[in-house]
Amino acid sequence: MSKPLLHVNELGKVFGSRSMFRKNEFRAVHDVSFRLEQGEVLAIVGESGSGKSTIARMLTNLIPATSGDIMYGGQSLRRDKRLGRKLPTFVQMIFQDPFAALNPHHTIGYIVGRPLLVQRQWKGDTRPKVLELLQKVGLTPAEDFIDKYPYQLSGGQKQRVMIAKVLGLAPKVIVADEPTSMLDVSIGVDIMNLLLDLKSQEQLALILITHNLGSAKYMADRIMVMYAGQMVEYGPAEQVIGEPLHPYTKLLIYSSPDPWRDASLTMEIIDPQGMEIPKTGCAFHHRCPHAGDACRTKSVAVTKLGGERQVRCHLYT
Amino acid sequence: MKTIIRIAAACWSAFPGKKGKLGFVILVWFTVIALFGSLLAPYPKNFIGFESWLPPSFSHWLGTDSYGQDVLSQMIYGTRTSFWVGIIAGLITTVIGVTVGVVSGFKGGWVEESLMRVVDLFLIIPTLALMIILASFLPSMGIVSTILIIGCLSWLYMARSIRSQTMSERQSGYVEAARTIGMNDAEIMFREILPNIVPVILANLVLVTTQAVLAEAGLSFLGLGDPTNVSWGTILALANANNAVLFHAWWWILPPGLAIAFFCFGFILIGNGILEKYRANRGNAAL
Amino acid sequence: MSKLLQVQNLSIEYASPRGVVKAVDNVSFSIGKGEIFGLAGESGCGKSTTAFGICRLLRPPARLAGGSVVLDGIELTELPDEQFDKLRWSKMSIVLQSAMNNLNPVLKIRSQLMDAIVAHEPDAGKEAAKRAEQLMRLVDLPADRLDSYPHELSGGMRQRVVIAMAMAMKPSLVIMDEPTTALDVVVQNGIIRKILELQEQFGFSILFITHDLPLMLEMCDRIGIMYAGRLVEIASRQEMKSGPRHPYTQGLLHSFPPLYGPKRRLEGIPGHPPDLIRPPGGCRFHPRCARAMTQCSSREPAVLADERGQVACHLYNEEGLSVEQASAARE
Repeated sequence: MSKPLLHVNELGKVFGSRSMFRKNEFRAVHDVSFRLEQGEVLAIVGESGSGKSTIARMLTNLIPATSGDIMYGGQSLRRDKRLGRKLPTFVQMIFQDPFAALNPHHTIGYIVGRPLLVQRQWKGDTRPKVLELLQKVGLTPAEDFIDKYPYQLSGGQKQRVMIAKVLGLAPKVIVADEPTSMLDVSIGVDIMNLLLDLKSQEQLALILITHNLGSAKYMADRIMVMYAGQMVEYGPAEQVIGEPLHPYTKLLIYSSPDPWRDASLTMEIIDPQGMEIPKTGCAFHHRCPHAGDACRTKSVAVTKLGGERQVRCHLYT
Repeated sequence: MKTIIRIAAACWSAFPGKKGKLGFVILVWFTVIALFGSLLAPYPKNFIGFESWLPPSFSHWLGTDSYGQDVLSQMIYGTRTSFWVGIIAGLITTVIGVTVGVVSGFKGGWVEESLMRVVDLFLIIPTLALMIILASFLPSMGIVSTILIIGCLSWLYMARSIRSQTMSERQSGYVEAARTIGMNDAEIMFREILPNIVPVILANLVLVTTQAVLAEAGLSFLGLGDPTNVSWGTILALANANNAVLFHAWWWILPPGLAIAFFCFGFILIGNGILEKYRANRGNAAL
Repeated sequence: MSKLLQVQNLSIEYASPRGVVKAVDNVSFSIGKGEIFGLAGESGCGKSTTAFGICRLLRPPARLAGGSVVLDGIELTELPDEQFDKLRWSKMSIVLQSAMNNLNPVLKIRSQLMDAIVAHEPDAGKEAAKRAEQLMRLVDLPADRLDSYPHELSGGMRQRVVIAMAMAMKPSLVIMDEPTTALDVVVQNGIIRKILELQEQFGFSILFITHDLPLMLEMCDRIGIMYAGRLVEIASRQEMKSGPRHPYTQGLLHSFPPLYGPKRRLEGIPGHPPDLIRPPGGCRFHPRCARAMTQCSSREPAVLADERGQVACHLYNEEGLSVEQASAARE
């Protein structure tokens, strides 16, 4: 079997400081594993604090993992020091806030051209290449944009500049962290479509980090649902949305506004009343209508079901 | 001559806005006096030979002091000392302060810890006392040693404020974006972050230049400067020591005070002018 | 249904260094007693400014440029400040998006709730404490949370406290500006359900403002869509769901990826919202409209009101039919 493009194995991240007197730790991500192939779109869905952005930052080596491993084309990010240096040409990230992610002091030409020089992908004047990249992301006529400063652009245009910048390095994987959440919906759709088009043109693999199930379904082939730092459900997008298995996924879908849903669908909702996520047993048991004794005491492992589906729930063990 | 005009025109347009241009004019005024003071002054430096406590008149525009020196002449010679001390010591302070601040704020960890402990160490030692000790131990106390002592000892607060600003910039999206394309630390610090903290640097620059002028005055006041040199500070110190207030000799006190104030005012105006242009480049975003 | 709030030709402008921005331009709508009216649109369309204009929270440089706001027979725009202050909270209360972050961080929830009550009923006295507990129960928060400080509560709980405060004077109109936008969907869902439950219980009217059209379609009785400072369409929830008429509303609705149904490509809306200092002539949407005709760029469309609601678009003639339908009917 050939090596997958991206293989994430039992990835974990603990934030915190250990001082002489007390240990202050927060488990942001715990035991997350998945694979990604060329041309595939994976959506990582979850609420704030679910650890989805932490995964994105570990994938792009912005922060180191504390356990587990990330392998790009069979090379380990932890062990292979050489991969770390050339990682930018392998994986790139699109940030949530295009207003902050572009340095207000530089022109668009500089912002898009600089990575090419930093990664030695281009020699001399980057202007022709930058024009080509701007054209590719739909900023036409590119000459009008290249000498502008970020503040002269709208949010959607800024996000396109971000995409052009990322494309310049011809990465194999693009991690998009909530790429549309700061934009108006009609503009957000354009950005999603652009990403999908580029994905097929350039044979990219895409990881979409989002809290919006609708856009996850729209863009992704597979969806991974995160809750409290753990993956609770994984599977083909249609199936995860259409027939969710984990009670949390069900709750998430039930709570997402959609006027065309089946109105007769009701669900028992347990309000956690500000209760913290339980430390023992299943992390969701205090909010789960199906919670039994095992859920309160025993931690749950991932169960692999048929048809690529995975779920972390005692109901399916 | 043509090149001089061209340079002047370039400088004129480089200082944006009415405020910036006014500041520029003030600064040019002081520069001219500092450079050509010996030609402008009506009497030689430190010449004692007039009646003391003379109020302003046509022969002594700013009167004379208790030693019988012409105040205007002393002011003009004093400008040279104060001007260069302010500018050069201010620049030294800024270079050290910005470098230490940006590096410690960006790198964090042990680099920040050790740099900041050095800053703390210097901060708990009273700077003036240290300056006095240094000044009295140095073999000769010319203008150069004054500048070096002031420049090397007043970057501490600047380093602190630049550091905290850098720390908040470090969190921002464009720094992370720079990291993901594999930019090295030096480039992130000085080409990505530095332009964005220009406002803080400018504010500090104005402050440290002012402080340098005042510190020089303080050192001169204590008799630790070059006794043959005149500066705004020494004039003020002498006026104070000789009870100019009691003699209602306002012509001895006001000129050095106003000169210091105007000099700093010019800097502040230039700083504000540059800030306004800087803001316009960012769509008038709040800083 | 009798009208509780009537907004007529409301216009709001603010001065910017580049010129006057017409943030709200001739907006008219009404809200019936006990009705939930939604105002939707993208950022900068003027929906929040409209709400601010209604409850007189406009701060300079924004100013009311014309129009009238009538609440329960009282003209609000001409009311002296002290009379309006009495009216606010007792007849009308406001829940803002940022409100949950604007609770006083050094005061306990109890004293903040009691302050809100005493401010409007100075002789509530001891009863205020009891009322505060009742209010907490109203929004499903345990009474012991009264002794918490705001930072000890989650975002959703803080927003519930704000809603409780808004309920304190039993207002007849509650204006909610993006009350759940910063919250996670599960929390949002809980709060929306609570709001609907309270509305059923007390029968107040709601002016609900959000950019989230699907959410609005789930909870509002009637919905107004704003674009570039103008109200382009008003329709009931059913009409909106079955097929809005204005091309902008259609585009907006098709910009939200649906959860159900087969996957198909969404088209969004090309271009971006206009500069409100120099808005395009005629219909402001015409530069982005796929169905724009010649008159769209020259003539401002009249508002057509019929049993399906109202729409301001040249595609619909007086009979409320699309041009194609009308020509088909003639043949």
